[in-house]
Amino acid sequence: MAAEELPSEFDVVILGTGLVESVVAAACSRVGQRVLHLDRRSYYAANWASFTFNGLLTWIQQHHEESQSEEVQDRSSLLEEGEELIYLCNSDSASISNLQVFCYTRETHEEEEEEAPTPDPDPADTTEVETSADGDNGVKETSETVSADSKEKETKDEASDEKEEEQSQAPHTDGEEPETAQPQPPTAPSQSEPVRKKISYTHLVKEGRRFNIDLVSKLMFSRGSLVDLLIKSNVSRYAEFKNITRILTYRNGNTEQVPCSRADVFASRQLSVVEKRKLMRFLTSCVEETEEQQVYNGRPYLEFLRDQHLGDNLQHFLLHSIAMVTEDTPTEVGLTSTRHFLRSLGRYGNTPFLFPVYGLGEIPQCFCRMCAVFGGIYCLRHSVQCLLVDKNTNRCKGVIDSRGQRISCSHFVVEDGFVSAERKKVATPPRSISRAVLITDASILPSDSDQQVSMVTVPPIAAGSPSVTMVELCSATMTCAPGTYLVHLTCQSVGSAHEDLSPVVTRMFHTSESHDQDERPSVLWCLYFNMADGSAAQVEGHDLPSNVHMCSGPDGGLGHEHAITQAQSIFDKILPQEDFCPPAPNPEDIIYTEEETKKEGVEEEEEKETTKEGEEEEEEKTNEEEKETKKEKEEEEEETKPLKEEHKAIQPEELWRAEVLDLLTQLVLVQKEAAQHQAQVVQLLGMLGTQNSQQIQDLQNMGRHQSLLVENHQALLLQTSRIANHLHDITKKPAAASQ
Amino acid sequence: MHGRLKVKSTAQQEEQKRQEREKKLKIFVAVRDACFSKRKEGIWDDEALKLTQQVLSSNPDFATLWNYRKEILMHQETVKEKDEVQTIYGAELSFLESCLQTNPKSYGSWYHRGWVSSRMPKPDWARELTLCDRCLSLDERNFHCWDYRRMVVKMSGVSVDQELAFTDRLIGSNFSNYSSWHYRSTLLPLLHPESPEPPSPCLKPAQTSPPPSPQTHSHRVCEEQLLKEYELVQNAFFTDPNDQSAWFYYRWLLGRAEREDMISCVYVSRDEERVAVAFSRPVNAQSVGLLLVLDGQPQRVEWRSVHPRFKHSPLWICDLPPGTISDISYEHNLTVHWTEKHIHRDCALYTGRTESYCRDSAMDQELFRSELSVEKTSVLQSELQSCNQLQELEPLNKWCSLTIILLMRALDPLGYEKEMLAHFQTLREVDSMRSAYYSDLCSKFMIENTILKMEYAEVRVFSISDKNLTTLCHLDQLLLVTHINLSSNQLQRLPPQFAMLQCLEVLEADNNSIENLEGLYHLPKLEEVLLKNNKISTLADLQPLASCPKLKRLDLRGNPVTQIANVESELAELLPAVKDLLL
Amino acid sequence: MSMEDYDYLFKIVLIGNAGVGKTCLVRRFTQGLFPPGQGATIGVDFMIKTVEIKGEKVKLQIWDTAGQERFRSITQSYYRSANALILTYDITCEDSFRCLPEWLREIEQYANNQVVTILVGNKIDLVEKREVLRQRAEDFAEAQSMLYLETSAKESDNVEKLFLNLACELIREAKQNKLDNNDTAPMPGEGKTISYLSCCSLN
Repeated sequence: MAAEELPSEFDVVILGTGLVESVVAAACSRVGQRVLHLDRRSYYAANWASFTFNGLLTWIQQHHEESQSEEVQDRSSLLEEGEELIYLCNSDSASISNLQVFCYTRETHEEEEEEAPTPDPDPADTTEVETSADGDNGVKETSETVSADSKEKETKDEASDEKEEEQSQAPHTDGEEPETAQPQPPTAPSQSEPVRKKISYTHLVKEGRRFNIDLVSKLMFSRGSLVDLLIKSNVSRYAEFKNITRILTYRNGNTEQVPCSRADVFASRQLSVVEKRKLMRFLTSCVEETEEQQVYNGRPYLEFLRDQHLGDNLQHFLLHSIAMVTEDTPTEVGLTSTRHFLRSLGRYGNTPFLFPVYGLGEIPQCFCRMCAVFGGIYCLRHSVQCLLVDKNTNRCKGVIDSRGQRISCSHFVVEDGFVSAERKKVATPPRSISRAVLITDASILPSDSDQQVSMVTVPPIAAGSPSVTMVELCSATMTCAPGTYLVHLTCQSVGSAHEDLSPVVTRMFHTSESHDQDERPSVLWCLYFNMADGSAAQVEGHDLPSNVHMCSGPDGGLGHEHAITQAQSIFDKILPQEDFCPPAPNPEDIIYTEEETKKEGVEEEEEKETTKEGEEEEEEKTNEEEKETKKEKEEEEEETKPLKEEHKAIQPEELWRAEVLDLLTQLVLVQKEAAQHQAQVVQLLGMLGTQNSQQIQDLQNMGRHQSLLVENHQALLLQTSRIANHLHDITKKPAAASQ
Repeated sequence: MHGRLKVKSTAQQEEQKRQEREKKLKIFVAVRDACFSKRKEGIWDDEALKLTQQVLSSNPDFATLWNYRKEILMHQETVKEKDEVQTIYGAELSFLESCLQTNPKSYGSWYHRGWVSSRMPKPDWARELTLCDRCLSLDERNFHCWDYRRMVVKMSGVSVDQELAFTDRLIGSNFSNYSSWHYRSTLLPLLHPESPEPPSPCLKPAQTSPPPSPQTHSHRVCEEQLLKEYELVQNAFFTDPNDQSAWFYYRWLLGRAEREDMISCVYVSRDEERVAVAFSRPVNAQSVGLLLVLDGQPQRVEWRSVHPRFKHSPLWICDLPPGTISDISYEHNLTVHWTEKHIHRDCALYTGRTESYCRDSAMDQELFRSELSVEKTSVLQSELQSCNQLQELEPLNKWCSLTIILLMRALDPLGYEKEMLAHFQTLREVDSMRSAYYSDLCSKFMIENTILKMEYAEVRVFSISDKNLTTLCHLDQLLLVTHINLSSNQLQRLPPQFAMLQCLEVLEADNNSIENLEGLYHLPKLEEVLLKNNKISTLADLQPLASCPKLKRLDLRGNPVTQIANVESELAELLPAVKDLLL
Repeated sequence: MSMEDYDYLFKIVLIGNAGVGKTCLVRRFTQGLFPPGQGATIGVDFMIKTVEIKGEKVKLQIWDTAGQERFRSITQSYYRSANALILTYDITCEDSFRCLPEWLREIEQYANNQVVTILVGNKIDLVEKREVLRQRAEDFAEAQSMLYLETSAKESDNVEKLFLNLACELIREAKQNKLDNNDTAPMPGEGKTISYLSCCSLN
């Protein structure tokens, strides 16, 4: 695995492997763009990643260590005339802050705590902050202060102490020496809770590879844009999915199941029959827009719900769990999200949500695979140091990678973490998401099956606190070890993640901090952190060349709409004429032509071959359209330049300029024709695809009708058979009597 | 860039598919022919198994080949060791699985599977059960699978508990499923039978929906479980009031046990020297061993139904030998034995009486309401309440209205008459396609009510005019009626059952749409028939009247038949006994 | 579903350093060709070949790395639902052999526990340039409890055998599993679908 040299010419260079970047990469590669996809990290999916338990510990550790600003190497020597450099920043920890780890697994109830070295949650503030934590070294005796009581105190007053505690601990938790990784049992704990923890920290580390812990917690709406895209593009073949099996809500101190599908409503024990009817009626009626609803536009959804006389139960379910909005959300927004929920319901199961097996981190990787299958080149642990910008046009001509190689490209797509704060336009004040990840030993609502996947909505538990979305994953999702549950909590930050979420955690779970003994699941280990809210970063208006496209990180929403929309809009900017992620062909339909395999070696030959094909078919057209395209050519010249240069790279440019231009024109023409042709084919294929799927839908409808008919038929048959039975009885009796 | 991707065009794909199809067809035909010729030659070898497998795996509905396969397997049974046979059948089962995968609703495959399972030396029923459950989870309405499953359950002796839990599961995942509800209705009586107290004389559920399965007729469910079921099914129809399956099940729950077999009435008439016997259900008196004992002497009589159209009838009559009871100064004691059922009923004809009867009235039998214990009545009352609640929410739901009617019938048929009529009106409006059905049903209920009223009044006059009757029923209950008034309804005919009104003397049926008098057949006492403003159009329609010996007065005004030329003379010829003819 | 459909479907995944001949193995097996140059055909996700083993039709879906191994950037999801892994090295390249432990670490991290792994030393047609002794590889494979085979995609040596052996092993395992957990196994067709969405996408 020796480091090969990267090619020096691409159409699109993409830095960062988050969801948006990966979708853009797949989309570009799919339509024939040469894509180079890089990530500074050693793993895929950036802040969308999933980690094994040990991987997560390493990640935590990295986020503590990664503080020294990198030595920025001066690359100005690589500049050509008329170019200038934009340096990128190459540490992404700015997006993560307030990291705190708690471990509750030892018999003696140890507690440990870590705190992020960056008390400043500002995601835009990058390198300077990181340095502050560095340098402090291992004072290990701080745990008593930690385990005490009020968290506010810990997080603020004793911040510096925690840092040291964390520093001492982090190097151990990389999974190699799990035993020593245990911090000393603190002396403070006074709780006399029973030792019911069978799962020790050592066990978690040992089983670490069974965990796939997502940094971001989201679900896929069955009819959301991500699922649609996965299906449309055939990327879905790279992953498997599980249904969220139930939707829960936390209310009056209890966790209750939210009935949302017909079967749920039927089975619900909390609802009276009248409530069932009202709920079903509301759900069926709100699918369509009515004048009655419009009257409430601009007024709170809660008011609308109240006026439907649904009762407290249903109102709570509809507002918090189905629409998943707050009490002051306007009616039209509430209804829209209710509809979104309902549309997704029943496509794959009894809830509207899917979750990818092995965690959300799979999704960006699946798109990366698609990109690679269509020729995209992948390189982790490899970054871009700076951009080469043409001073005159203010367009990015290429990049200089972390090894100092010059790579030209016509578009550069970058994760926003790599763009320095002063160039970004970000919402003020900076928004962030509060996250908590818990490993627990039981489900929050035990049921017949221990393999439930639950979405839990927790309305604000006090005035001013955020409403929290919680996802509880079981081992069947391949995200946690058997016998454990992985719980993700997410909310829009009000304070730090710990401030926002620990009240919910202590209420719903058994932690060392909660004194009462109860049946609530115990938290074995948990992690709090804040992540910059991707929806705060804007796509437009940054101080960047127009062909540099910035992708935001994960947003706080439950679905993936924000990311997919962004990816599509970036793609549309890069390739306005192209289809976004057309279906990849089924491998069984691919023709492996003979000449392709006969041809020994030379790659270029093949290329000519393909261009020739286009040429032959489009020859006549070419002449007519030549004039028109000449005009366009000039515009396109910019874009195709790297390509031309590749062909004539050996020649001194000045000498051949005129000839090159000529050739270029022709090449552009030919390629344009070919592209048009391809686009037509792709369009046709797309149409065929939709036709097909429509036909199949029709067939399915027919099938459904058929089965209804059959059922009616059966009912009839039943009646007939009963009549027959009677007749039989009747006729049997004379026979019996005659004997 | 090398190796640009080429994808087969649709035309190419089509062509390829066509070729594949053709190739497949050729193979198919060849293999099929090979199978046939082998069978002809009586070869039952492994190769034949293989060949049939090839055909059947692509077309599992090829019954002939399944049969051939059976022959082969049966042959193998005779020549191979038991273990080997087991293996062969095991392989057969896994082959069938792949067939079922191709077509999960193939009659052939399921049937063959049943055959194989039952022949297998050591069948693995648990596995079969899992297969069924899998299949049903994919399509809970696959009745082939339901059938097969029933067999498996029977063979493997799965407990009723488990089966009930199974229906719970299926209903939980989707309650729009007749099969599950129905299965439930067969399981419950087994699991929670009604307390074994001697059931009060109960009658056939005349008006409520018949139970969905014949084998459940007489099985009832204990009250405690019944309450749970009510709750379950209510959850279903409140969740989706438009789902029929739940309503049907509900009606089964509300339904009653079958009427006990009994002789409900014995009537004897001195004038005609005739005995009429009414049964709780239609029987064929000629075959049930009906024995008439008069004053201790078994009589040789010929039983006949009231109309030659009926082989089975709830009412049978016989004529005693002339002179047997004609002397009014003698008292006679009759006993009718239903020997088959060891049931009998006595009837005394006292001196000076021209007729006599002995019976259980409809009221005694609680014929038209459910045989409810007090607690049950309160249960029904609360059921009615919740249905009313639902109706408030869903005023246009026909199932709800209909169920309310049935509940009202069960609780207090006379007390709720007005509400019932209002609900019928709603039903006719919201479900106009079935308005005729509702009218018939309403007629039936009105007749029931009128019978009850008549019996309360202890009269033999049945009057139900101007009630929009569209049909006549319960006529067996009107055996003793002497005077019937059906005027101003919408009747179109007097059906053959009408001949059960053996005591009828006066029939008023003005202002209907009657065009057929089939039921006025051999009514021995009928004297007056008033049919003003009906639709009798031909003389042939009046033919049945000729069989009524005492008919004296006939009003046919306003009927088309009166327009016929020389109708008067024709009628005089047809009905010479009629003195008072109004045309 | 028709006559030539399969009884089993397995996903086989190839890994190993760039240039050891993974793609050649696949193309030799699926198409009987020895392709020149390097790299998989653009847009080809996996290749398919249906083989018959003891009367049972086995459809093999063979996935290639799509070039992501070049810079050691294989996605984890690539390993996820594989039934078998073919870990390939080049017998004429010591380096490719020395990287095997690294690959095994990835397998251990991301692949299914029950995955069948086979170690393949490719390019035995260039035996004169051999750098990795057979014995050494065999010992290594045994220590890691892997099967071992040496092949030549160019001469078509052992290529067929490689895939057929794998198919046999996979069938054996599949049957074993079927027996082991009887209650979850019997319904035909299950376990064949590769992806939930792709099979449901037409709904």
